[in-house]
Amino acid sequence: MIELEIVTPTRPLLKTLCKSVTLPGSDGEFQVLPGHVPMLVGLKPGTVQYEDKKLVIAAGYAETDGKRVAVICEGAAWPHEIDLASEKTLLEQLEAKLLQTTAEDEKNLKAVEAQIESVTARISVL
Amino acid sequence: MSSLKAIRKRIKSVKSSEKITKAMKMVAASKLRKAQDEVRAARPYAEQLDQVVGRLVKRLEKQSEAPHPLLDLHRTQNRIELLVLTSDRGLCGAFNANIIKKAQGFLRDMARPDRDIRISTLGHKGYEALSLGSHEIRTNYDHILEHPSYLKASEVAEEVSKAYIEDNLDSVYLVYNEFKSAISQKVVVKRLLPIMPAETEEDLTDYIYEPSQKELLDHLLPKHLATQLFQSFLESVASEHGARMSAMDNATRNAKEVITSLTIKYNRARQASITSELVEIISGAEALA
Repeated sequence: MIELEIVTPTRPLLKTLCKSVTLPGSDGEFQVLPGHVPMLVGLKPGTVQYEDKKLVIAAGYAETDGKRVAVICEGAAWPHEIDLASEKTLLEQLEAKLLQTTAEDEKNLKAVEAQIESVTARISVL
Repeated sequence: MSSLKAIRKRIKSVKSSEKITKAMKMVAASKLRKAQDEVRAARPYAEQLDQVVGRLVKRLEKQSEAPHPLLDLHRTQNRIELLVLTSDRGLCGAFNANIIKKAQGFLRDMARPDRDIRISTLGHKGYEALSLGSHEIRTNYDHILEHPSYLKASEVAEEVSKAYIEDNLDSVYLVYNEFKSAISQKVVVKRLLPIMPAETEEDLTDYIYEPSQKELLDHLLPKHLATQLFQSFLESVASEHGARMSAMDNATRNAKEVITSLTIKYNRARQASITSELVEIISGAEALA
C-alpha cells in the first residue's frame, strides 16, 4: 500500500492509503506503485486516479519515495463539485479570448492557454 | 455643584469609549474567525511544500556546485536582510511592540563590524518604528495585509529573491507573529533564504527529475518562497485580529470599572449636596423660630 496525500493552498483535499496512483506528469501520464524509486515530477492539469476514484487537479508537483506520494497542486476538485454547463460556457469564453489575443502578447497568450488546459481537464474527468 | 457636572461629563465620555472598544472587539472577533479558517486551510499545503523542498535541498547538498542561486548555502553571511512583518493599524495591544523588540534584538545579536544588515518592512507600524533606527530600510511594502493574497505574496517573493541575487545578499530572515490561538501569538524569526535543508538523518538517494532538475528548481523554489511568505501573512493577520480582540476586551473591562467607580463618586457627591442643602434649610428655620 502507498500513502497518497493531496494538498492545495485553499484546502487539504485527501489523505488515504491505496494500491496505486496515476498522475498527469508534465512529460506524460505515469503510475506510482509501492516501492517506486524516489522521484520529483512536475504535474500538468489533468486527472488523478487511485483505486476506482478520480479527481481533477491544476498544475503542481508530485514527490514520492516509494512509501508515500505527496501531490502539491494549486487547485483540485472532485468530479461532483464540477458543473459541466458552467465549465463549457467558461471554455467558450476562453476560446473567444484566445482568438483575440495576438501572438506578440506572449504572457497573456500563455495564461489563457493554461486556463483552457485546466478547464479541459475539468471537463474530461466527468 | 460644578464637580457633579464634571463627573457626569466624564461618565458620559467613558461610556462612549466603552461602546467603541466593544464594537472593535466584535469586529475583530468576526474577522479573526475568517482569518483563522484561512490559516488552517493553507497550513497543510505550506508544510508539504516546505518538506518536499527541504528534502530536495538536502539531496542537492552533495552536489559540489549550487544548482540554483537561491540554494547557495556556503555564503559568508556578511550581507543580511531582515523582513519585519507587522500590522498597518494599531490598537492591538503589544502585537507590534513584541515584533519590533524581537527585530531590534535580532539586529543587536547579528551585529558585527564587517556585516551589513538592512531591513524591509511589511506593514506600516514596523516602518514607523524602525525607520528611526540606524539601519538602512530597503523598502516598505504597505497595504499588503488588508487582504493578503497569494498574488501579492508572490510579487514580494519575486522582489526579495531578485534583491537576494542582484545585491549579493547572503541571507534573508523574516520576523513575524505565528498564530497559536485566539489569545496567544508567538514571535518567530525564520530564515527564508537560502532555503534550509530538511533535518533528517536518512541518507537520501537522488531523485529522478521530470522534467529536468533545472526546470523544476526554477519553478519550485520561487513558489516555495511565495508560499512561505503567504502563510506568514495569513498567520500574522490572524494573530493581529486575535491580539486586537483581547486588547479591546481588556479596554472594555477597564472602561466598565472606571464607570462603576465614577458612578459611586457621583452618587456620593449628589448625596452630600442634598445633605448640605437640608442642613441649610433646617438651620435657617431654626434661626427664624
